[in-house]
Amino acid sequence: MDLLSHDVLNNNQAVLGYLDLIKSLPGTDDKAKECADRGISQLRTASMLIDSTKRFLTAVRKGVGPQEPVNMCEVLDRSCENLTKLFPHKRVRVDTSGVDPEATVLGGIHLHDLFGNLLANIVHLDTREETDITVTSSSEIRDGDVYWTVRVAAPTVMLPPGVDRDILSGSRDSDTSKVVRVSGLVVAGRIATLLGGGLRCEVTGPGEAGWCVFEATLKGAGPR
Amino acid sequence: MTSVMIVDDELFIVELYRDILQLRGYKVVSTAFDGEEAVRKYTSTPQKPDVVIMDHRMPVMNGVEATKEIVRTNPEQKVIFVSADVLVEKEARDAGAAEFLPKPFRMDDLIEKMQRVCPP
Repeated sequence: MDLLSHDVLNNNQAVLGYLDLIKSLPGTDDKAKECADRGISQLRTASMLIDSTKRFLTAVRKGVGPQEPVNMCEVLDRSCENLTKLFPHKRVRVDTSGVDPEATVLGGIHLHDLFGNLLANIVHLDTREETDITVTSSSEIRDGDVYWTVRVAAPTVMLPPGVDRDILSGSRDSDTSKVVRVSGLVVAGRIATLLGGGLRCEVTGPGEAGWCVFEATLKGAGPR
Repeated sequence: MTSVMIVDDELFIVELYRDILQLRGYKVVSTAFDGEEAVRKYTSTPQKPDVVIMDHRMPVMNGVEATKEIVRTNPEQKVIFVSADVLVEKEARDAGAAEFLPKPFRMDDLIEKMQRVCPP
C-alpha cells in the first residue's frame, strides 16, 4: 500500500499540475477553467483517501503506539479549510461553535484523516449545492478515562441504503457490492475504531429523509 | 533569473516541474533522478542553483540523505522538499530543507514556496 500510494499520488500530482497549467494558459476560457477545477477537486478527494488509507493500514500493521494529543477545534478548522479546496463550487457551512475549546483527544495525524474523510464524504453525499453541518462535543468518564463524543449533524444529507454501524466499524464481512459512495466514512470509522473509539451513524430528526448524524467517540487526552 | 535544480525519480514529474517553473519565469539549470546523482551533480557544479526541489522516495539515495549532503556542502542552499508522505516533514527539515510541500500540490503552492525561499 505504501508503494501503491506513493505512485498513485505521483500520478495525481502530474494530472493536478497539468490541469493547473491548462488553467494558466492564455486563451483558456472560463468554462474550461471550471472543468479543470472540478477535475482538481476530484483528484484532491482521491489523494486524501489514498493518503489516509495508507496511514491507517500502516498503523494497523505496526500498531498505533502512543498517540499525540490534538485539540478538536484545530482538527475541525483544518478539515473545514480542506473542504473549501475539495468543493470549490459548493457552499459548505460548518458550525463548530458547539465544540468545547478544551476538547483534546488522542490520535495525532489520524484524527485529521478521520475528520477530513468524514466531513468530505458528508458533503459528497449531499446532492444539493449547499451543505450545512453542525458539530458539537460532549465528554464523559469511563473507567477513569475521559472520552469525547463529537457529534456531526448534517440535516440535508441522506445516507445511502446499506450503510450501518457495522460497515463503519469494519466488523462486517458480508456483501458490500451495493454499498456505494461511502469510502470516506468507512475509512473514518476504521480510524475511530483503531484509536480505541468508534463512529456510529443514525438518521434522526424531522423531515422525510431525516437528519444524518454521525457520532465519533474518541479517547480524551486528560481530565475534563 | 532564479535558477532551479529538480530532483525526482519520475521523468513525468521532472517535466511537469520544469514546465511549471519555466512558464513562471524560473530557469531550470539541472535535473537528477536519484539522490546520489543529485549530490554528484551539485558538488561538481561551481555555479550552485538558487533552489533545489527535492523528492524523498528515490532509488540509491533518498531525498533526506541527499538534502543532508547538499546542505553539508553548502549550508546556505535553499531546498524545497516535496513528498507524498507528510510524516517525513520533520526529518526533511532536520536535514536542512527550508520548505516542505506535501504531494499532490497546486502549481501556486510551489510558486509560493519558491518566492518564500527566493524572493523576487
